[in-house]
Amino acid sequence: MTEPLLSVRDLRTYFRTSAGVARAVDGVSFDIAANESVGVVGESGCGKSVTSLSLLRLIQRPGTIEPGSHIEFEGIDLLALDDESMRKIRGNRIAMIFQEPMTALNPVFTVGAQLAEVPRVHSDIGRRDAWARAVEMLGVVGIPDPAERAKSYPHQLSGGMRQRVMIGMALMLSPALLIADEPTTALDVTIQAQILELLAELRAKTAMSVLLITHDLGVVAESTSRVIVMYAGEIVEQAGVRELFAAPHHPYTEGLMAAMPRAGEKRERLTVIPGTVPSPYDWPAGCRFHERCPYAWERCESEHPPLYQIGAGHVSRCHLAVEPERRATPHEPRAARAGVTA
Amino acid sequence: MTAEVGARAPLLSVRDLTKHFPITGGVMRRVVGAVRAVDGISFDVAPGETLGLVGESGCGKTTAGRAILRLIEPTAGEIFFDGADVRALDREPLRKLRRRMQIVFQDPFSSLDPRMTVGASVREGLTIHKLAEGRAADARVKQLLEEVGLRPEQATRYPHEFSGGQRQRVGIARALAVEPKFIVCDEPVSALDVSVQAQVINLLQDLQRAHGLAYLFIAHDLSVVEHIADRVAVMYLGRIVELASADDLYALPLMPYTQALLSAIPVPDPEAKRERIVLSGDVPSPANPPSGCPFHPRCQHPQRDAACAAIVPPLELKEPNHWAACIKQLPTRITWAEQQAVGATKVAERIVPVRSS
Amino acid sequence: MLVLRWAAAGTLVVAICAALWRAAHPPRGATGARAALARYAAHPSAVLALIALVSLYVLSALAPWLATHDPIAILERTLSNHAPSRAFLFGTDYAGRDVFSRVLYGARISLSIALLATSISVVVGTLWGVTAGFYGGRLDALMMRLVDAFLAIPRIVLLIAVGTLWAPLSMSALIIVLGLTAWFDTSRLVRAEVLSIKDREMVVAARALGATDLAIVKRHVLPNVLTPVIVAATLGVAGVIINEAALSFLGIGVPDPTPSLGNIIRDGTPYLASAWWVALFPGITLVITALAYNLAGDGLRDAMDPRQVDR
Repeated sequence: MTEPLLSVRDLRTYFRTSAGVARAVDGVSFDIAANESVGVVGESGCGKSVTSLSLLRLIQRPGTIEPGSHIEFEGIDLLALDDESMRKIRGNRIAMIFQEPMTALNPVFTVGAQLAEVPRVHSDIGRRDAWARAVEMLGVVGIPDPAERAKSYPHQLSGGMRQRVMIGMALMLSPALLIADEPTTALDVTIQAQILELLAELRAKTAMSVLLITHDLGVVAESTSRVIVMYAGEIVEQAGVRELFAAPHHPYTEGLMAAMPRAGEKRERLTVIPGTVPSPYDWPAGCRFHERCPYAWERCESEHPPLYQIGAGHVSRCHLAVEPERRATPHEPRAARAGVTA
Repeated sequence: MTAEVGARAPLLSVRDLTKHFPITGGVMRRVVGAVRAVDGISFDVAPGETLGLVGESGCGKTTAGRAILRLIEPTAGEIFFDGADVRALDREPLRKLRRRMQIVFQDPFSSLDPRMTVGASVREGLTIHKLAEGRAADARVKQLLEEVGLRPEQATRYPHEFSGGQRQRVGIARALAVEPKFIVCDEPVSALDVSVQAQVINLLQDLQRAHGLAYLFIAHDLSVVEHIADRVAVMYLGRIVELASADDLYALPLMPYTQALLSAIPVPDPEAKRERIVLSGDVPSPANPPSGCPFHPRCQHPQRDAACAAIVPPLELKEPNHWAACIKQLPTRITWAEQQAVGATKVAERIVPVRSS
Repeated sequence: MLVLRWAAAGTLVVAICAALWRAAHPPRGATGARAALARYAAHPSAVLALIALVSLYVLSALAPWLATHDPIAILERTLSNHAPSRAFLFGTDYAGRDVFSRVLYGARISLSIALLATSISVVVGTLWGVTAGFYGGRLDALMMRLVDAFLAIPRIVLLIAVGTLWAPLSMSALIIVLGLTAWFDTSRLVRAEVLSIKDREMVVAARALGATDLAIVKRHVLPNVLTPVIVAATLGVAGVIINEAALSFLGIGVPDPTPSLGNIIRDGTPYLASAWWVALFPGITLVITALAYNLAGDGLRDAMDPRQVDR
């Protein structure tokens, strides 16, 4: 069995404020193989963005990655590295693109200059060569007239083009892993289609792995081969993409899929997950989803479920794995009875 | 384009609504051009109906929503609401009319005053229109909060103590307080998570049924619009390019832009075969729209030709109660002769993408 | 006798501070003003500043009750420029007057002038800024160019000019002059805030509900403008105090023999080498007051934003 490209074990990232300790990421473990596209799905507050920032050690005070966490990339223990060595990996072996390209790009430099900066930071390449590579990359990401465009400033480009520039910056040094944190959320749907297609093309060309973080199940279905579902700082389900959509196990995953309106499928009322996400300062004991779950029973209230193996490559953090007959008797979730709304 | 065939007179009637923002330039700040945010749109909304207005950023849908309420002054066009000519009203009658046409905003953070308790925000409408005072007003505020799914005790809390979905509910309660007949919902769920979206959408539908409200539901998310709207208008660069019932639009999109838009929606089904139409290029700037059909530079219709760059397609009836603006989708009243006169080389032909279900 | 009075005054100061402290630490779940107070109390420097200000205001307000001697009465000349002693806690000045009592009365005058003058400047500045910012256009341009013109003149020069032209200044005239020369910065600050608030969706929402312009200003603009204004005003008081001291120092402010921190310093300046206590004690009081207002202003700024998250 080949070594995974990235191996995360028991990652915990906590934020210590005067209001208490927010356990934003609370024991997350997963692997990413080479040339694999993995999606992380979850809603606000589930910890997906914090997870991705933790991988690159970009977490700032008051957040810290707790001892006991383990991140291994290409055989190197990332958490044991000193700052300088970590810096050499960022942008070089692992690259990241963000949701808002306007705020991630520097408004006072041309896009060409920003692209050219990447190789110059990591190697001794000369200015002219770096610029040439920048123009070449603009072409690769599908920006028309790249030689001219390289001299533009970010505000002169549209949202879609800026996102392409960001992707270009990420790809300058051919990283092994690209972390894309909600790369298309801020874009129009037709532009999103373009960007997703671009990412697919680039992956085919470079055999790069992608960790795609999003809240959009549609994007995940289309662009990834394996999906991780996060809720309340934990992984609650993980499966191959086909398996997940064909047979979701965890009630949260089911609820998410049922809550999405789908084009071409008219329904009277959207199925709702009642209640709200609990506070990261105060995760409930037992299963963190039990207040909102239509199947929960006494065990769920007191016993925190581990990740049960459901099938090949399919795990789910739900006691239904050992008592599947409970699925036949759904009831009104406790949150709905209490009238708690989001 | 006339009012749709129906038994009831429309609640809202918009004709050729236009909003141009002048661009000033030079030292003397002369007007050198205009951003044609809304470029002549017409539609009706019947009482109790939901009309969806969809389009991507820059299409003018938000401007249109605000122009209808005269929160932005229209440059041209007519707006008739409940029989009144909205543009002709003076300040005071307009203020009074505002009771009946309300708005819910996209951003639950910025549309509430952070220094007012949510109870005070909801109460504001009651105070302005003298609908209730003192204890009666308190009672009404509590009742409204309950109706939108919040607990009445929360009236004394400040907006920052609530989640995005709850803040949105407060905004809805505030709009409901003055007993409107019509609400412009300006992307009310775009900023919310999927599970919260579902709750708020269900709430909007429940309220519509309970109070007989009409909605203009502005959004960029087509799946949401299909779910909630009765009829849908698709906007592109300030114009309506297609208008049909929600079912018809999704079953048979006629305007090529609508076809591309629908195919671009990521489908949460890994097995689905993707016949995706990927548009090239970006949306042109509304300050400098293309000549003729605003969509022609990116259009994927096989019969697109020079005529598309020359003729502005009228919004015309292609099917019963289904309008689209495309001179290449049959039927069209732009004759072949007229098209040839401006350089057409390809005959109009109805083309609809095949959809796998 | 006097000691008892001082004890009483001291107790009063402690009582006020304790009450504020208790108000700042309510049981969990307080919001609004209480929460702001709690946030304020989290800054030790701001708390100290507040204690200093409370002490200064209470003690100086009670000056007639607490002073050891008559501040104006010239005692025997032979007692001039005596060093601090048990009878004269801060020594005497050239005229044989008790510096301690003069400082106490002087603080009373200086502090009240500062407060009143700042109130005037806040009111004028806010009205000016709100009008200019809310209505915009030519009116805005006109109003703000006027402010720019005034701001181009150094404040102290302006004050000296006005003070000399209308000498001798009565107390009220002095307060008015100080107030009317201090509002320019406030108006710019207010205008900037109004501009940013004007375009916020909450104002559009209020208009959509049918609110009149006046109602919008009253209900939405003013409360949101208030925070930076209060902070600026607090910091501005420090400036006014210094200006008044400067004027009194130059002889155009509070007239002799009424003491003000400025003119006491003036009295002591020629004797800095020999009778340093005359200038030192009012100087320290001045510095403490200005510093306290500055620190309090900083603390207020952090405290009054209801969305402040701690780091």
